[in-house]
Amino acid sequence: MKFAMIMGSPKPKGSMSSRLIEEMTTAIGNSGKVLIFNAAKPERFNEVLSCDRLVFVYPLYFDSLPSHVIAYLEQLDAFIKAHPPEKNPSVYAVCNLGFYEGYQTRWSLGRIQCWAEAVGFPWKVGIGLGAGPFLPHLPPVARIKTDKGREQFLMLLLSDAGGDNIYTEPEITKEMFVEMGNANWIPSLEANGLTVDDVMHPKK
Amino acid sequence: MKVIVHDLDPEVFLKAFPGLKNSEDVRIITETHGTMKKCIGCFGCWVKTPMHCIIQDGYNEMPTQFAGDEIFIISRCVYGGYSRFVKNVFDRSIGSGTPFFEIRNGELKHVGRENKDNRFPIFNVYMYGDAITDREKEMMTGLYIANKANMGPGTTGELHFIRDVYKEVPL
Repeated sequence: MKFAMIMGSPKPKGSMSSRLIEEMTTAIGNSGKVLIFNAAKPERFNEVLSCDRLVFVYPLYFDSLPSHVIAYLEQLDAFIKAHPPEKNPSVYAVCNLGFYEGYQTRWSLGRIQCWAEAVGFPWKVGIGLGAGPFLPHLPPVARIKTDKGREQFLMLLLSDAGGDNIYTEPEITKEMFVEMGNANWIPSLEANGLTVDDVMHPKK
Repeated sequence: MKVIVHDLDPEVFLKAFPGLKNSEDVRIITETHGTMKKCIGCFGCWVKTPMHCIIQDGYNEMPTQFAGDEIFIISRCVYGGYSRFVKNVFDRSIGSGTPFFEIRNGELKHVGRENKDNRFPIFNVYMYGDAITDREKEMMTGLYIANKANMGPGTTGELHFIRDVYKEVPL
């Protein structure tokens, strides 16, 4: 069993998407072989299509897919139509976002589903992880729903099963999350010699 | 200011709409400065040079350019959403907002910059294609509503699915 993890974050390292791929790879363990690809490098399509499952892992950008992931999907689509693969891998998607509500990823997961339908591959399920980049910093008690959602997703992935998309959010109040998220930017601003006022009223 | 973002051949577009030229009242955003580089998620447009993208490729002023009283988006419908270039205009313009969160209508959104006149754009989107599926329409409709909510509570406009840009877009 081969799994293709297609990394959709444009960050060369340290992204939440790459962390999610690492964690899924560990969880898959001896159940299969994981090949990792990067949507920023649309190549090795034969290798991608040699896999039994395709997992697109990406951050939510402006309510949807990052633009380079769209380009990757179109190039892979064209390759598939020019070189019909021997097997039709199942398609999965994992989207994380900085906002609280995992369901805000639904239109982006739907685009991956539309892609799967366009190329004739079976769409299985997606997961939208609210508070994505903050998850490693939250205590376990605030990640219960998220961890359950991820376990459910992994179970579906390993068994080639599908279902309704899974959306998670942290077990802290939205107000607390807003406070935490906003405070998180202050050190970055200070490191660049900026204040909140500089961000709210920038020089044009 | 009317802002038009499209992914069509710039020369064909200008021939089809000869009255439309970049001016004080009109700004046309197309991929005419070479390939637009992707957003790299560095947040520089928020925490280093607010409102200015750090990627110097001729498209680094998207946070100020992709803003106006009336915004027209003309995009090929690609898997139920915008095409690469049009989506990249959105991605490269995130510096027009701030990184801070607020709760609006029960959902997290980014805090907008001060809007003294409380003015929000008319946001009209024209998605073209010969074989747009029902699911693509559903996904694009959801995306359009989400975009409007993110652009500000007073944003108005309509989404259209069309076949022929040159006959159906009222420019």
